[in-house]
Amino acid sequence: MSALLDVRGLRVAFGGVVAVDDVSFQVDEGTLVGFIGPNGAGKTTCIEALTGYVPHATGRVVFDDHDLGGLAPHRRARLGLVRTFQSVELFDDLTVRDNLRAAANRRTWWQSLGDLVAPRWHDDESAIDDALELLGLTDVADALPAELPQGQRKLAGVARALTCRPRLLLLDEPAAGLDTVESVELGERLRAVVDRGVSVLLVDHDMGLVLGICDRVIVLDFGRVIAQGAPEEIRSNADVIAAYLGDDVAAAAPGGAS
Amino acid sequence: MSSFLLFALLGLGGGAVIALLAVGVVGEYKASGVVNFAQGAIAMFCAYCFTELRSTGELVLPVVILPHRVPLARHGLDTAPAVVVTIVYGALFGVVVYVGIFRWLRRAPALAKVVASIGLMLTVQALAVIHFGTAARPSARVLPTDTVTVFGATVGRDRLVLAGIAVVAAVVLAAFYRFTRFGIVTRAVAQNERAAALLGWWPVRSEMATWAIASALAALAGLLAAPLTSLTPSTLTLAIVPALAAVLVADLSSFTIAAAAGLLIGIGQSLCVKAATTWSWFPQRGMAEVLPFAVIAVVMLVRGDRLPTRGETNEGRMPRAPLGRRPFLPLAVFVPVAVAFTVATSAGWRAAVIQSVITACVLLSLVVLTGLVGQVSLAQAAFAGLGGFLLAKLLGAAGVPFPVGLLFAGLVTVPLGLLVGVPALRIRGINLAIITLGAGVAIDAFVFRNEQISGGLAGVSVPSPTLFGVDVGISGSHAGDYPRVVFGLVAIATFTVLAVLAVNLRRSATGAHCLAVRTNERAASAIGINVAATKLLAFGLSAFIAGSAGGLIGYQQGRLSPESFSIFVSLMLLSIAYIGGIATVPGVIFAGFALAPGGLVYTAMERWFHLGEYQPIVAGVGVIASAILNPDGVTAALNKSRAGGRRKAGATIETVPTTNAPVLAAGRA
Repeated sequence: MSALLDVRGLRVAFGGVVAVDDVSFQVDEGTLVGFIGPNGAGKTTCIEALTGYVPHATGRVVFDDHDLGGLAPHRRARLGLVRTFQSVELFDDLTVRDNLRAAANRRTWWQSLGDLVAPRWHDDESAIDDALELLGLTDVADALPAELPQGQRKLAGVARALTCRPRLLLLDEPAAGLDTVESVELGERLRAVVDRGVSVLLVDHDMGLVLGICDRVIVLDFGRVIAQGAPEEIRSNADVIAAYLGDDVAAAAPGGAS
Repeated sequence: MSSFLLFALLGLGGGAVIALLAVGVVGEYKASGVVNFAQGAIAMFCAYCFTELRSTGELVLPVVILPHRVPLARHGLDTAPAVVVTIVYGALFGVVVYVGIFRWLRRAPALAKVVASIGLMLTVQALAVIHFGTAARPSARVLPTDTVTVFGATVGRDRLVLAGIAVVAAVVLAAFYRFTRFGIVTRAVAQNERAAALLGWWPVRSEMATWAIASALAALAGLLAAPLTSLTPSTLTLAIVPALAAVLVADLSSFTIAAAAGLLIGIGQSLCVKAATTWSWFPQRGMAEVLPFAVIAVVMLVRGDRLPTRGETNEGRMPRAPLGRRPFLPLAVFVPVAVAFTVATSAGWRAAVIQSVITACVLLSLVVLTGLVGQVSLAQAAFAGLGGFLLAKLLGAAGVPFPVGLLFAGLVTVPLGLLVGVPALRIRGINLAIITLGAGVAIDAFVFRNEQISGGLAGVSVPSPTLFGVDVGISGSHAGDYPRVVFGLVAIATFTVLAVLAVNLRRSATGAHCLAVRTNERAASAIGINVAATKLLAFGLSAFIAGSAGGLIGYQQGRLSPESFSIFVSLMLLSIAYIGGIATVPGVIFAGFALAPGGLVYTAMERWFHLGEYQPIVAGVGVIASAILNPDGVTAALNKSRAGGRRKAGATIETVPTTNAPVLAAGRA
């Protein structure tokens, strides 16, 4: 069985700086995969490249048997490869519910012309209610994003991504800014998402969260994958410890070159 | 060939003006992040002041109502003191403009910056019209008028001196910014105002100095260049368009490249004139105006990105686009009131209502484009003009019913809207405003000034609209029957249909996608929205609305001339829509009735107080004040003061604890 997401030799360079170098990994259907690494390791750049925001990325990315090379971001999202942003990025003019509805509704241009005469929402309201409930946002569904605390805005971003009917969710630091209790709760909610058949690639700094809930963990440092495996293997991996503790050995570790 | 060389050398004069303006715009942008569309207008006003100083010795201040003439001498000043006074005057102008306006817009969204500088441009131009009139006047010579011979071409020395001044100004400024402490401080402040302030630099001082220098250069350009052409309130003002092209070539950062590009564009424009007289296949008119637009378009397409890159955050907030619980309520109130007014009033007032409604029709095109999708367009009058002229040309004799005529006028304009929209796929914000300004000027010069399309001075006549064989036109069978009630109803019906389209868009899923694109293109594409298609849809719909409205203008005027659709009309439209509230239908109804030239309030002001000539100043100053104080528009501000209760509801939502929902059980079920 082929993996849901298959990344081979992904490379992103900005001018002379190589941000992501020869990264290869897979995400299997129905798994929760952690994606960790120190600041500046290239995690967000990886997500940007996978979702089409870095047009000059090279390498081969196959998602659900589609080669993603050259596809625009919105096309990748429509295939089911949906990301969230570190800095939330909700639509401030729309209520939380309408943020989700905007994501749930797809429009071709002739449908849009139809909207001018007879506006329609092809909502699956139950899917939206589901996503709101799953992330504990039911009570604030009609609030504007600006009226919510940061933690809930993050969750609203995840809920919005969920209403895009993703096969694979790429979550960019959803737990940043959450306190410990909220973070634990977020972890449980993400597990619930995976239990419904949506795969998740979780980028985060919170080692407790990532090692606690993920099926597999990929560790990135200086743009290269330095380890991947089950959480317990990662916990004891010497390279990972070196990368995180800033051991001098880290300079000589694979990927230290750049 | 030597005559081409002659024209190239002649072009140095215009090129130097463009270069000096461009250098000033670059400086202002470096210092405070604003692209000043009014740079040409400042040059124009200073040029007028210079001629007044020379002829009467009086200094003309940019104010109305207050006394505006300050005598400096009993008779005209000599050249040297007049030049010095004008340059100092220009510098002070820049300081006042910066402190009074642009200082407050540092973190404003691009739209607010653009409309504020357009407001300044309109204000300065209106002041010039009021103080100096619109008739072209000769300007006092400053530079030597003798000729020199270069490679066999004999050319006035003034052109060469002007070009030299432009080059020296650019090089000195570039060196100044690179090597002096002042330059370093200015650059530091522009990049991070707070950090610079923490280091003990007062950001206002360096920015103020930059604006003073830039405006002094504009004054210099104005007083030196005015003798090359005749001085009118619009010639130098529109020199901003090629100057902005040069600024874009310089990527808004290099003084020397901006100056070089400005000189080259001037030479190019001069060669266009020569080419038109040499080759019969070369377009006789308009190529000189198309050239800057072509430069802008090429630069933008080469440089633009499909989506903003990471870290390019949207600054500030766009005007709110509230839907309300009853989205059609404003229309339901408006239509009966407007109909009653049309039926009940006398001819003069009825004409004002019709003008208000028709202007509101054009403004609806800005609601869907700028209001809902955030795309700034300065080409709306060009869209309207195309609809009007094509209706007159193609359906003129056919005698079709008016709904068909207006539908036609709208549809034929859509391709132009899509064409202007294509650059918007890669560029945004201020740059988009610049390219649509260039497009508007190019369409005006190339299409509307083409006598085969617009009929020259006589204009083209538009036949009276009919419905079911009945004449529903504005003028009746006898002279006193103008304007007719039935045409008022035609205008109101047209507005209603177009407004329903706009409201439907806002309340549909597509409208949510539009607002998503407006807020954040990256996030919009992340949820599967096709950003490019959404923008093109908005441009197409906007062109359709503007084109239909242009057809209505044709029916209203009976005879169309290019003046109805000049670039200044576009600037006026954007300004008054912004004051009223650019994202809502009530906003543009307010703008049409209270702010439009020839509209209801305008007519009242003119009849009762003879103040109609101040309308452009009201619009100009109003849009500056709106950009700073009330970006949501007048109607939204009125709504807000009513809807105090709803805000409170928002406050209670905020206190709902985040961790009380029984989610997990539900999630696992």
